[in-house]
Amino acid sequence: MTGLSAAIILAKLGPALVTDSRISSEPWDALAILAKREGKSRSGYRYFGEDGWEAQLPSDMMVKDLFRHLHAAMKAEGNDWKCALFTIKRSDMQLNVDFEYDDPDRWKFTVQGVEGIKAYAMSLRPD
Amino acid sequence: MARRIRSRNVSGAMIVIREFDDIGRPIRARATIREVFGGERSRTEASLTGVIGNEGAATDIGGHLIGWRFLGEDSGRFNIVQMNGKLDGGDLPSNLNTGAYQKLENEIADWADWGMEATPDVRVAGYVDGRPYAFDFELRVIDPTTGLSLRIADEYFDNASGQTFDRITRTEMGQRIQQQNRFRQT
Repeated sequence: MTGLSAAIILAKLGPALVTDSRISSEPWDALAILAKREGKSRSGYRYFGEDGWEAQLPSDMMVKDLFRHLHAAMKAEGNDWKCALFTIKRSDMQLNVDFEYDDPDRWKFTVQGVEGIKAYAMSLRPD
Repeated sequence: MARRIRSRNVSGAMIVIREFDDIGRPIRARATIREVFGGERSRTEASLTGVIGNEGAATDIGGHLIGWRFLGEDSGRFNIVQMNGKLDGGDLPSNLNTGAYQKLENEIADWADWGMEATPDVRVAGYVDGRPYAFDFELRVIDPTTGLSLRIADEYFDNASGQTFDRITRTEMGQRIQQQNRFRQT
C-alpha cells in the first residue's frame, strides 16, 4: 500500500505509462492495458498505423506496481473492481479507464481462429 | 548493492541474467528460452531444494525461479528460493509452485516447442522472514523470424497458495504465429 488516494494514483498512471522505458522506446498511436486479479495480472497492446498492433506492457516496476496500488486504494474506498481497461491515444495523451465491478471475464480472450486474434486486439483499441 | 551475473547454459543457446541482493539472495532472473532440455536434476540439486524450502515457511519448498527444464543444468542457490509448495489450508485450489507457476512454465515450454523465443523475467518483490513474499513474473514471447512480440503476460504472485494464471492453449499459439506472419506480409 502506498497510502495514496485512488485519484492521485490515477493521475500518476497516465504519465508513468507513456514514459515507461519499454513503452516509450517503441512507436504507438494508442495503448490498451487490461488489468485483472486485483491489478496483479496485466496484458496489453500497442497500436500503430491503420491496423498495426503488437503485444505491449510497461516494464518498469514502479509503473507495474501502480495497477496493484490503484486496486488496493479503490477497494479501500469501496470500489472493488474485477478488471479494468486502461487506454491512451497519442492524439490527446489522456488516460481513460473503464472499470468493471461485476464480471471478471468481461474482456476475457475467447476468440477463435487466426482473424479472431486480431479482432480481439482491435476490440480493445480506443476509438 | 545488487550484483549481476550473466551466464550461458550447456547448449550456448540461452542467456541467463541473475541479480542478487547484498547478502547473496536471488532477486531477479531472466532467461531467453528456445528449447526444453531433458534429463534429470542431480541429487545435489534435489537435496538443495529441500534444504532451501526448510529455510522458509512450513508450506515452502525450494522452487526454481527459472524452471530447471529450461536450464538443463543445476544452478544451486543462484536459482532456488523458498516458494510456497504446499497448501496453506482452507479450500484453496493449488499451491504456487505446482499451480500457477508451473502453468506458466508449461506455457513457456509450449512456445519453445513452436519454435518461438520466450523470455521470462522473474523479480523477487522482497524478502520477509527469510523468504520472498511475492514474485513479479513477466513472460514475453517473440517470433524469432519476424521479431514481433506475440505475447506479454505480466503476473504478480503472492508467495502463497491460491494464485491463478490463465495460460493460452497450443492452438491459440499457432493462431497468433500465423496472424502475425500474415500482418508482416501485408
